[in-house]
Amino acid sequence: MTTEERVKQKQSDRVFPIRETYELIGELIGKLGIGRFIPIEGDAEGDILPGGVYNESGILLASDGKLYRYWLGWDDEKISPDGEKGYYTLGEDFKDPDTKEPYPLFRELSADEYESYRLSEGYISARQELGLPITPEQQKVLDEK
Amino acid sequence: MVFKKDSLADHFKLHKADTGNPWLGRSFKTADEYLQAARSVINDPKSKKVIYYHQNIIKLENERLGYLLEKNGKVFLVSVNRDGFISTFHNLKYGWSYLDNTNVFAKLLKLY
Repeated sequence: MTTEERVKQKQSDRVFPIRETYELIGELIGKLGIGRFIPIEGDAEGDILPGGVYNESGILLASDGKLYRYWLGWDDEKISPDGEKGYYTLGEDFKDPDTKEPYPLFRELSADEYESYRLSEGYISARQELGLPITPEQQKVLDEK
Repeated sequence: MVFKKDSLADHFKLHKADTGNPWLGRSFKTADEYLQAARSVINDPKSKKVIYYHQNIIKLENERLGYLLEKNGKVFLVSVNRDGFISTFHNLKYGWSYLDNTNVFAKLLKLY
């Protein structure tokens, strides 16, 4: 069975349009009150969601200057825009599989994590692209590339 | 080799069952057990190495070094970023065919 056939099988009786990941993340993050964003890290996580979307984890910079971790996946309980049960998620309502307690996978990075990106070229470039200020130290990183 | 701060906990919670079961027949019990399994993929001489770029983020500093290992009829991937941190370890649910989608692995350079 090909990957495409498996995806169609998974979709069962619901019809899912083929979705482009970036556009889908934009839709989901818009519902969380965030406008423009730029992903600065991302990794596929081994599964294929309805619509042929590959699940992925990553870090994005929002236009408010905050860095967010996300996990693009599928939530069986989430109501889709067309009223059906089951829809894509960034992990905002994820629950710990053991304790069943809320464990949001969509969250702002901690101060320590911020520090690890402060002088990263991708982060600084994304800040520039979003019109956010950069420090002389960050400008130096770009100049040296 | 380690995960970045906070990233290990998330990946362990998400992959403890879907990767633990095909890897050792049960869920990983601890984050450290999950991490040790990831390290064993990296250190296994049978692992195939690839360089790839993730979709939407085709920038030089975002290249990944992937270690692919077939075990128990399943394919496992450990991804390492340029800083030397492990960014993920999981079972490829659809095996080798998962790699065929060039939208996810936007540029895949096989080293093996």
